[in-house]
Amino acid sequence: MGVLWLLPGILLAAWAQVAVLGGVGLLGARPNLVLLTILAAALIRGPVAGLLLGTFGAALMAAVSAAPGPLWFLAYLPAGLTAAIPEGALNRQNPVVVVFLALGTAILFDLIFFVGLSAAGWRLDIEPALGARLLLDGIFNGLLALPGVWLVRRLAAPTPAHR
Amino acid sequence: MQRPAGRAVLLAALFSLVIGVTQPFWASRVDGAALGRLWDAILPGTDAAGDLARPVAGVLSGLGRLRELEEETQQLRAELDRLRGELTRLREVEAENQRLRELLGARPRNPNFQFLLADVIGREPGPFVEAVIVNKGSQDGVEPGMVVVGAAGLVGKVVRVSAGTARVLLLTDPSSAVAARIQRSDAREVTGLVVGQGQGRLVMRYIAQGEPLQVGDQVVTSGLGETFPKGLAIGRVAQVRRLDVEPFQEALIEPAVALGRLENVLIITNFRPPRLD
Repeated sequence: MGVLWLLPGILLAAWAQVAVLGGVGLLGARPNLVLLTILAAALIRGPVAGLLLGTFGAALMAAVSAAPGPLWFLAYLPAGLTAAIPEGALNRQNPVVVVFLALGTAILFDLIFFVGLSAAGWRLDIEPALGARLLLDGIFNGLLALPGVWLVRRLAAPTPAHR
Repeated sequence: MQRPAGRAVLLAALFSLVIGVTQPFWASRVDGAALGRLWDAILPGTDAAGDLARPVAGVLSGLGRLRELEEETQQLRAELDRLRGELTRLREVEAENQRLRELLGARPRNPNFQFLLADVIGREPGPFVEAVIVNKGSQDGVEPGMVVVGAAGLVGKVVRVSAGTARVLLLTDPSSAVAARIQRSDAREVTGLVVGQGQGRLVMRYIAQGEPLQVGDQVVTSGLGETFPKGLAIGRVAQVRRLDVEPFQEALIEPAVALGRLENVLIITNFRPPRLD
């Protein structure tokens, strides 16, 4: 039931992303608030909550986006699954780890969109600059995740055992 | 907190994948009924929030460049005087054109358009896609394929519609292509295809090598294919790329409409592209 409490949060993040942050960007990099919310939910509540929240978030974004709907579900999957990485391999209390998780999932998100849109017929003639674009987006969202580290530290369960 | 077993994670991932892959099948029913209405309900609030925030942001940015604004005002006044003169001349030309067409019995190429004013209330949330969300939808008569313009020229076309909102794919989206021509006073017709490049960039391709092309040339829709009406302003040539080894030359186009700062658009409701089926 914990995931139900997160639904208003993802709704707020989706609204902010569409209505407020759509025009905000730095050298082509844009904040991905919904992705960061899913990542935070996955780290705090576990991968099942992250995946279910990701599915809801994707359905929301697919309804408002001009991009093919299935891409949203695929693109949020890595963020939802992040918490499934065994605790021994990943110290969720470490800010650097959380920043790199945000960076990695943001890059994966963009990469899935790039491949999916190319397959759907979008002419994305930006191959030479693609690496730089993905990295910039990753770094931007990684830095945006910094305030979330405090939240993860406060709310995440101490040393859970992964079975 | 106890971490869930791997099986639960696998099931949740599978659930997400199945829902995602089948989205095109259930979206038209659930989306239109529930999620589309949800967005219709929450997005118009954005407009009010934006209306409140915009003047404050405008005043804050304006304070820092008062002198610049004063010079800009003088330039705009001069431009307005020039355009008033031009408008008078164009009215004369239009009246003459109308008379000549009546004499020839020809149908006007661009009949009087009916416009529906819409406010931009959101932007495409995904990467690489350039689209905006406007506050008019199917209940206002908006349909996919309708052409959208701004005060200075072409903006894009409607690609998806819900009851109260519509998604407009911008000219600069990488999937957008418009048949175009260079507007010239001489009779020579220079045509090409204006395609979006993302991040606010446009390029005109497939212009024959021998065609004269200059920075500042105006680019308008050619009407070929009848996807867009003829004669809508697209932008002006900002740079010409010409390589002797290439069969065509291409030009970077500066859009006529500031697509990154759109606040209002006009939807042409009485022009529909032909159905190909």
